[in-house]
Amino acid sequence: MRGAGAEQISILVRTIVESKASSNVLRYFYGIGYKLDHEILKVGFAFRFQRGAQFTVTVTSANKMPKLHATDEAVQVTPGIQLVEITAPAAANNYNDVVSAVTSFCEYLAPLLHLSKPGNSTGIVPTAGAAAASLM
Amino acid sequence: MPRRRLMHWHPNPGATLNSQILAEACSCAESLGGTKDGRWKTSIISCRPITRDSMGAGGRLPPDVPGELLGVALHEHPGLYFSILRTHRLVLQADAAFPHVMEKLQSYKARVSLDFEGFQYQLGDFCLRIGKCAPNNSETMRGIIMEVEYYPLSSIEKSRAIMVDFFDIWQETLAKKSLPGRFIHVESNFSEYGLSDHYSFQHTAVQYATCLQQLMAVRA
Repeated sequence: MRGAGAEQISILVRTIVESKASSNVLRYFYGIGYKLDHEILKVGFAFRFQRGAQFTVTVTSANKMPKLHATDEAVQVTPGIQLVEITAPAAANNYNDVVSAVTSFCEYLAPLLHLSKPGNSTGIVPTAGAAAASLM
Repeated sequence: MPRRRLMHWHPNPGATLNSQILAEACSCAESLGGTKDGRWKTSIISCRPITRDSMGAGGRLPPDVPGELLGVALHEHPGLYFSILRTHRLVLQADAAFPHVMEKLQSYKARVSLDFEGFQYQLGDFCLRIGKCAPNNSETMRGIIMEVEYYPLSSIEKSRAIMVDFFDIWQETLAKKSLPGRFIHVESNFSEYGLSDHYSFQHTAVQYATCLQQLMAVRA
């Protein structure tokens, strides 16, 4: 984040362009001169809902593969630790509303999550069960 | 999906393209009993690589990078976008955000955009689309094309005979106008592009790329 107020905003803002593509997309990029650098298999869940903004919440584990495209032999990069990502698209005209919606949702989720460093899992939050029950 | 066949106007040596040929082709469709039911449009965008100074003397590209990408946008399906890599016989089907992806990557840039557009006629089990090809925002006619769609069949092989029969009737009717040229169909090698006998949007995109090559060759 850059510019005025960047320090006050506790979320990451990125420009994202996404497109669906047919299964020959890798061959297409090789064809126009790109070379494969690395591949990661992400396995998990995605939730989409509207709550002041169009949210996507994903809970995923990243996996490495010993050979190219060998999804059956994938190994978790951070065993026992998953990545929770909360994203919402924003445009210039609704930017502040989306920022506050995402910030407030993150605060809502915070009691359920424990931040862990790779290789050093802090385990599941002991109050997770109770926190989840109180949210429902 | 229904099979389509694209044809383009091949002028006689020395003859030029003009809107009268287009008008005669449209009236031919009507004389065969076609009912006009709207307009159609397809756009082809030619993208060239962006050369960078860091690429060495004169900013030349590595030899294996294709000189051109063709983007095809079918206006009846605005959510789709096709990108054709002719050198690799590859047709990528993506969505409308794909040109933005390419723009962000800064490897290829759209240079020329050509619009194929005109009127559409329903004729029994067929749909005829007759129109002109012109650069985006210009009236200069670069070609005249005709698309024939046959609703009942998706198989290219099975529909071949009926398409040829239809075309014979069309040619006979149009010949009465004594126009300086004729419509021709140039086969696209679908199997080279990994496409099956079952017709799809990707087949249409490949046919437009083939047609464009023909139109550019005629002008040369």
